[in-house]
Amino acid sequence: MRYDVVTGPIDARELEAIVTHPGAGAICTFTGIVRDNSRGQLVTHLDYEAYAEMAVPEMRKIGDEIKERWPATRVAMAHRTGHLEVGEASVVVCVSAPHRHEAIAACQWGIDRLKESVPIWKKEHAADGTYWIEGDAAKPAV
Amino acid sequence: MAVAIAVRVRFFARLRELAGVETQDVKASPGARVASVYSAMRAYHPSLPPQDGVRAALNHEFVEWEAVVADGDEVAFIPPVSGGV
Repeated sequence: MRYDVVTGPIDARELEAIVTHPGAGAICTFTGIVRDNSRGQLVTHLDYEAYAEMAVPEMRKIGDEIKERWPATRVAMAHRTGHLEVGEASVVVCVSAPHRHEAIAACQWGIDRLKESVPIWKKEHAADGTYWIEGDAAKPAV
Repeated sequence: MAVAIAVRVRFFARLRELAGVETQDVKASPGARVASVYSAMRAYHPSLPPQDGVRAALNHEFVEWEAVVADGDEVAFIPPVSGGV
């Protein structure tokens, strides 16, 4: 298991190596990538900010919940902070399980939960200005 | 008369920008609730939004606004997190 907030590139293969084991027949890896558009506007880059002392324990809680819901899974998660360019990975959630259905379901559940409760924020630098993305809302940066 | 307690307040993302500070050490009355700490912060930093839509964390755990703070606690005010991929 590994739960990390990192400032450099995330290596999804490295997280897969952490969760793999002889009894795991499936690994599902979700990678969130910086997209070049949002709200109909061109995005130039993003800045992510984390409350790291809280984000890592919140990720661990999600991993523990995954292991309760889908026994025999192993979980690794990493979120990157700082300046990210279009095409770079901002977040990776990796789940191994005996079979594919659990791996896929647990991975999807994990990224959805991470988006709801892990204190990490995205500041979007777009053609029409700079915005903090708060859930479904985009609010102008100060 | 009870002695005031010391609490460390932290702001993140848009709230940090609106407050103009990331960390602030404040005094509070014994038995003070997280909500009253936020009210005091709004008085200090009038740009901070009403508490609707803001979440509070006490010592790195999400809490209700009624949670009571203690001496040495870290209280964080947290805007909605990053949203859709």
